[in-house]
Amino acid sequence: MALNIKIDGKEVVVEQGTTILQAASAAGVHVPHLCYHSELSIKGSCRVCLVEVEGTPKLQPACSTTVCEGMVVRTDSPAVREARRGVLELLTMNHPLDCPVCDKGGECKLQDYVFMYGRGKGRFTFEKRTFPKEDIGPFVVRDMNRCVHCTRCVRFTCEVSLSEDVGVFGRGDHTSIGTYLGRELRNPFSGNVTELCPVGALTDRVFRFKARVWELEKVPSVCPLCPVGCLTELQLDSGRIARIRGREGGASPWICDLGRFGFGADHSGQRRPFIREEGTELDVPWDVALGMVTGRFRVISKESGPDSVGVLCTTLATNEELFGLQHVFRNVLKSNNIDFRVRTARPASREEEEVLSAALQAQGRVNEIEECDSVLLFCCDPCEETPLVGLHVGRAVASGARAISVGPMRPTPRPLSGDWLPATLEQGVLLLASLSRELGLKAARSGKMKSDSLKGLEELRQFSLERVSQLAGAKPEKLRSLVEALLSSKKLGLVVGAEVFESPFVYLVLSSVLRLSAARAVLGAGETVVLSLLGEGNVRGALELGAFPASSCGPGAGNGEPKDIEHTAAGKSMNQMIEAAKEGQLRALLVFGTDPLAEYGDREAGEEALRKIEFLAVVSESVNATAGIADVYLPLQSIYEREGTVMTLDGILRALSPQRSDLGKRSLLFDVLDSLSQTTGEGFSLKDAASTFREMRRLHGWDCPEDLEQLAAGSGVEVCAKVAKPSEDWIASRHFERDSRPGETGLDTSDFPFYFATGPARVSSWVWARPFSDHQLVPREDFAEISTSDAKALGIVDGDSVEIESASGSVRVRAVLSENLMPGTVFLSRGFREARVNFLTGGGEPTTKVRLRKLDA
Amino acid sequence: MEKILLKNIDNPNSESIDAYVSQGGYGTLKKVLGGIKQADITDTVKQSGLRGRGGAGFPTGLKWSFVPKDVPGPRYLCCNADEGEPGTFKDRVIIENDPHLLLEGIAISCYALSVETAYIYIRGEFVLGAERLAVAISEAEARGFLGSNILGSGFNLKIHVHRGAGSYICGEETALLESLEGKRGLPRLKPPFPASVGLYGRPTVINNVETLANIPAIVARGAEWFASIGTKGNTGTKLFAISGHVEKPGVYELPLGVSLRELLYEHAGGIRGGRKLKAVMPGGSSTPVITPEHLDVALDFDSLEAVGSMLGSGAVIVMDETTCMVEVALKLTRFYRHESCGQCTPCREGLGWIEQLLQGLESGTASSGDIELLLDIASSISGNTLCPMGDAAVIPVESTIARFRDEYELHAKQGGCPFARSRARAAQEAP
Repeated sequence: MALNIKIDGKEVVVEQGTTILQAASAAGVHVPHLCYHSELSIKGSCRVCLVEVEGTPKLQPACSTTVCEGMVVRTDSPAVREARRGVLELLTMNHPLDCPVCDKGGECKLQDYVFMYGRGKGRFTFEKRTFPKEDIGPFVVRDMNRCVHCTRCVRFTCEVSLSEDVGVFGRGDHTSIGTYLGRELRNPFSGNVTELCPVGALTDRVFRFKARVWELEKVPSVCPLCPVGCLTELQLDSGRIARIRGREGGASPWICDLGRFGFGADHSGQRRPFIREEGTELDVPWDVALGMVTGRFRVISKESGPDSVGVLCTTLATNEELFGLQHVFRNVLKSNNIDFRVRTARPASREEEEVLSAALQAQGRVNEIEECDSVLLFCCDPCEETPLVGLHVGRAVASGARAISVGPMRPTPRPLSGDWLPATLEQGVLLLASLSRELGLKAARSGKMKSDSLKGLEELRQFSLERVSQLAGAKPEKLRSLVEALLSSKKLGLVVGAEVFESPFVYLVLSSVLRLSAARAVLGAGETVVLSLLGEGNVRGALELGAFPASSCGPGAGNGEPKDIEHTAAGKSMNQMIEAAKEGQLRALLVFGTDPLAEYGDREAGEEALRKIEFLAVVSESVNATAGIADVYLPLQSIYEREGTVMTLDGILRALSPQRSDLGKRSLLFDVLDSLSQTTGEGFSLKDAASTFREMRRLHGWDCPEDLEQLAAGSGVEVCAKVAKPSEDWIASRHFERDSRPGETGLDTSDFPFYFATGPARVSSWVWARPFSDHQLVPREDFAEISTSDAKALGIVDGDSVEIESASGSVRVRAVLSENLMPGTVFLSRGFREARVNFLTGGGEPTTKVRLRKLDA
Repeated sequence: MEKILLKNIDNPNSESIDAYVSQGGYGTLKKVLGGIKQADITDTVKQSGLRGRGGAGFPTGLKWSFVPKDVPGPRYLCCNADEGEPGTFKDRVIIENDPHLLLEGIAISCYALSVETAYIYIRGEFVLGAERLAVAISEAEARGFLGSNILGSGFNLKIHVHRGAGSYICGEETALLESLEGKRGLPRLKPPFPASVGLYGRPTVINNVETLANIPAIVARGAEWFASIGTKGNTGTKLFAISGHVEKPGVYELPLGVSLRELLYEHAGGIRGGRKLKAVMPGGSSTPVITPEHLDVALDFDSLEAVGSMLGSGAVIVMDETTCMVEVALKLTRFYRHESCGQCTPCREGLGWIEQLLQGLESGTASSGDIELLLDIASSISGNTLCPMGDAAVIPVESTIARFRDEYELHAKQGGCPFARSRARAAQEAP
């Protein structure tokens, strides 16, 4: 219902339920406030927003008072001004005059309001109340003396991050904000409280004392570190990033600690090219190194044909780099041997590729998860892996959504795990396939489908509820109740973890997800929001732009025009390249940004193959393990220094704004591509990010600004094709599903009793810090997680050194006990320096088994 | 005058159910459950003119009528036994000596309001009171006056005693609800009011002990009878807890409208040691101080408001000529500062400033502008806080300055408290 009110003489029309503060804001009238924040619950305690409402004797807080028809509000009357002046004086009374040494100066609400509305000089002459200094966490510095008790930080950790790290202690004027006994402010979103805090009570330790905020140039950008691609604002000091903040316009204004603090110093690390001669690294000028790359690629591809060369690339790259790479290799070198999946990629059949393509088209939007009444988290811990996804799941849960999780790790914080089914990845795949088969059967039998899928589904007997309940250790009644839950949800959220995409059963998972979604639609159950977390960084861009060896992979692959794609033959996937290298058939390999030596699942085979490759060239930000055996290393600017665009996991195109670099903002990869193009005498027509972007935009028909700066300033453009509802065709069984037999790989359990589980590097372990980051705020130690019950049985306590051994190798690492881990499992995340996952995983089994022993001190 | 509330307290073992029943106790509950309509009870209470005895004086029947009738689900009744207002010790007398009177009052009220779960929030310091209530409740349950299907009527009522933990602000109704819910005792924003959104978000009525203790008599003997006691608009009796410089401090039940003079000189024996009256806080520390010129004021809600003060809880604090009014303001401000919940800026920060300024006046470090400054700070607090405690907290300093300005000026001019005794104590107590 619309209401007519007057604010400072202005007529305003607002919806019922609007507060005075919201109405004033809509009318362009500024009402000062401290405790109110649009993303948090209303508190009404700072009393800075008091305004006059005609007919009411007492002043009313604008943030909590809802308007009524005919209300007349005055925000600038003498009474209001006096009250504001009084409240501000009382706020500054105990507030230390720290402005000259306080980082918040220049963006401090208290400073601003006192200047605008307060007394020129405070009259308090007594001693100010103080609190003892106390460290509350690694990234946020607390100065309790400056606190104005707005409780925004408390409400954030209770309502948004759901971590409840900080609380209120004491009462009256000795009220203090602090952490609970023995705990610290440490959650994937802790940095947001430094933006929320209206004063300098909670400040950013990384940014501490680096610059004054008015000296910083504010530049809109996007975070490249995970597939969510949050909008960010870079604040540059002399062109270099001093700090990163969130930016309005996206799903929410928050960013995670990964995006906020992970930009690193980016000054260290090898920036000089070298070549390796007889095992020794020799520094050479750029041209020499580049010439060597070009020369060897030309000779080898001439001698042994285009299939003898290949490229592996990282997803921590721009769309332009990925597009450029696959364009040069496909169209200039005529080789389709390109892959970004360096861990376990296997060639996909045409049918499997179609499933992936359909799953991408079915991808929902990150913020749609909030509206779901049930959310199923499949093999992921979103707050640790793609934090903003976790935040939105948390919002759904806080509004009453039912949470169900399947996987070896219970998602954190606790509210997100809800009903947790402990399962290894393979068991989880079985469970999901089984649940989707049940829903598919229901749909097929409902008489509401046009096509007949019944027989095909019935034949997928390996996924029957009874069989799966045996293999996966879940009771049949439990599975049936889950089927009911999935059916009865009116808006179901399905989050598929990134780790799934490392598994050979990824296509089975995706087809199960599509079937689930389609079956729900047929049965009239409601909408399904699918969010596949896909992988790392700009993985969606890699998928959309063809940085992998599919036979058909989107416009842009092949010679340029979409119609040329159909006839492109599939290239070699990662493990095929390793095989070919071992046979001596892959003679030249370009490695862009990634580290196959440290990442490829079968480390032994990988190392053997890579060492055997005649010519191995690495172009990356730092000298990684693969560069350590490469014939040529070419340096690359950091991702924060290269211009270009990225694609978020929900298909939104966003642009990066680079910080100043000695090597310029044009990715040095373009030099490499240009040089390689000249092997055929053609030269690379796509000279830089801007020209590459224009070409991609034309080919794909993206409806977005042509200018990168303009694209960066906005909130991004949704460019990927979307299908609102998967067609009922996806209910039918797929050929590859019939041959899929997860859980039947005949694992020897006697010698290696534990399942090995892994997943993306977790935000809270700090391993994701840029390799050359100068942050030493959190000890960066490798660790593996063991369930508390297993540890007890083995006599292992928190912090003990353990050896984890598989049939392929072993790892020595510190053990951490976890209540959130499925007993019978050992968890080692990716990304650690020494304790690499591929020492344990081998050549191709979907599940690795390990044994565990405590090492003597 | 016929006693209503203190009728039983002088009987031996008055707190026991036998004593209560032998005096006709629970007879009204029986009558009510025997067939009186809920609406009739509420009407009777309304027409009786009973006003809340906790301090606000809000018409009880009207408060009850705010509970929405058509909202399904549980509703609650909370008895506010926090009795935190300085100077008030009257609820305690009922709780310790006639708990069954309170329980019967609660039971009848709950019946009228369709409440099946009631809580008595009692301040933690009332150890004896909590014990006696617990015993009384089990006695009543054993006799079938509480519990399921009371006296075969189909009416169920469970009364829980919940002890507080030393916070004055938990006597404020919404902070009481927060505390009862297990959270920090912080007042809530109003609206919404507890009648629609109260305990656990459900419709809730919160009444003071004395208010509820009046219910059995009102229902038994009718609204007209109750309205015949006291004055127009201020009906019934009041428990006056008189303390301070009087010969006979204590709790006296007298009709509303009795004069201050009568209470002070006829019942409480006059000023101790035959001294002269200087000032009175007629309803607890949150009420503006009045002076001997007001001796003939009627002690009721409306008359006291007319002279610029309040009846409040009826806690009459009497001060004689030996009292330093600045010290009074200081001591009370110290209390409010200590009890401030800390949520909102004016109360949290301002009371400390006021206290330090008053301390300065007492110990001789104040400057002449401090009196105006005190009033200025008080006006920044009054009316600007989240809950009424801010307004209450500045009443001691505001009203003593208003009525005893000269004394304050003397403090400032003479560099400290002219009362030698106060000066010594102030030096000892200086922070």
